Amino acid sequence: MSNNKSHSDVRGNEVQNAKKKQSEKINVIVFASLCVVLLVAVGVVFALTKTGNHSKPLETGDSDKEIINITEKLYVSWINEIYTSTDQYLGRTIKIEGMFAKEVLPQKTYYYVYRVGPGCCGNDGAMCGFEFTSGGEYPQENDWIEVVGTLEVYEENGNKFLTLSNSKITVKQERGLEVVGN
Amino acid sequence: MSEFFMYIAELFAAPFFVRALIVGTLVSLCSSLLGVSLVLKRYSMIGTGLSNVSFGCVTVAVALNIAPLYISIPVVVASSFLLLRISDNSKIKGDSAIAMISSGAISIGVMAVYLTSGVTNDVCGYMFGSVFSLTQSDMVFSAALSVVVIIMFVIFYNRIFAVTFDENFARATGTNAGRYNAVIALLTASTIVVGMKMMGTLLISSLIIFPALTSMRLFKSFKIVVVCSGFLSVFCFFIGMALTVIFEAPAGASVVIAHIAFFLIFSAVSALKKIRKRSIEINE
Repeated sequence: MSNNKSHSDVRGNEVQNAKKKQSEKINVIVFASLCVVLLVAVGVVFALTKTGNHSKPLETGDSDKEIINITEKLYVSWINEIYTSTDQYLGRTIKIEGMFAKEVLPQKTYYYVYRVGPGCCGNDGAMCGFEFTSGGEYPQENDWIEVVGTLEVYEENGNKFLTLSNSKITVKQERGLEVVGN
Repeated sequence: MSEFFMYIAELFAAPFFVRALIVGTLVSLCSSLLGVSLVLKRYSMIGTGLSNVSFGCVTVAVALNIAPLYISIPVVVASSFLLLRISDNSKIKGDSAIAMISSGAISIGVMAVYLTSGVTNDVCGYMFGSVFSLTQSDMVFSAALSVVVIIMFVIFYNRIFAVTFDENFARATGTNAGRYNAVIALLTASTIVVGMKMMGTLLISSLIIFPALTSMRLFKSFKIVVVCSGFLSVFCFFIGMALTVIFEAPAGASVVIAHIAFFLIFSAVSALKKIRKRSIEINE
């Protein structure tokens, strides 16, 4: 009698274990399906929200003369990258779009191409862009411009600054985002 | 469609994006592996406590113009041992110890900010995370430390499993539970230090807690929970990155929101399964 009982207990346990394993398998399938569905959903959203005005960040024509294009998305990240890893970008040609601003000081006038990036903390935006120099004429303040120039470093009052030298400036009618996030 | 692939190529051409993906994947994996043990041992708050300590370290480092990692690594590791030691001491309970150390660290950080330059972009970046500002050296350091954490976890997997489930039994069978608790604390501290720039000191603990809790909604076996947590954590990181790129949202917060969404989905599936099981039992 007791043997029968123990046999039935063992069988009961086996059935329970089998059920548990089956349940775990179902969970794994549910989990994998969820991941696939979400992955597809993210891909679709990604494809739909993508705007058509993108150009390659590295425009290759001559491999030695790649142009680094600061794109609208990841604008702040690109600029941060260039300022933090300057050595890798010195002498490279950079193309950037943004608003034009100038700062007139008694000894020198400085020219900038910039957009408004996130400040710290919250929405107190900060100027984010490059100083540049050009041999030609400069546009009106707040014009939307495209600047293509070579990244160089210069020293002033013991501090080092980055500038896009010998820049080619194009004033554009179509304005991009003035305030950028990343 | 070709535009879509061009856009993907555009992203991968950005060196900071590739660095973010590498570090993010490794940190997500490390934190989720350790998270299972921490959650089961009811040490979840240690992650939060240590991340607050790392905030204090960052502000002091920025004030002293020192690279934050040089101060964070020794202080966070020391704090993790201190937390374990105080938790073992019956006079001060574990939760009190964590509350004491984390509030102390935040107050030191706030004082450092007040006495010096204020909340600069550096401090802000470390508080809320700036995944795209990881430099080449950050990536090498983070990848190396993450690989060490993963290897140590794999090597000590059985011991960590034993200490996690029944510390007293593990002690009775000759396992030096204190030593393996220290290993868990050391690995947790390393993961927090590695992940603080990516996720932010205020959000890094979520990477430790969420994957484990979410996996436990559906799975019961330790091994499956660990594997699922790892997979889930990396997957949520990718979703978070996609949200960041699409909507220009903050990366750290996007990853955490992906984790919350998965937690809710898993909880709903678990609840539905329970209801179904009950209805089958009633019918039988």
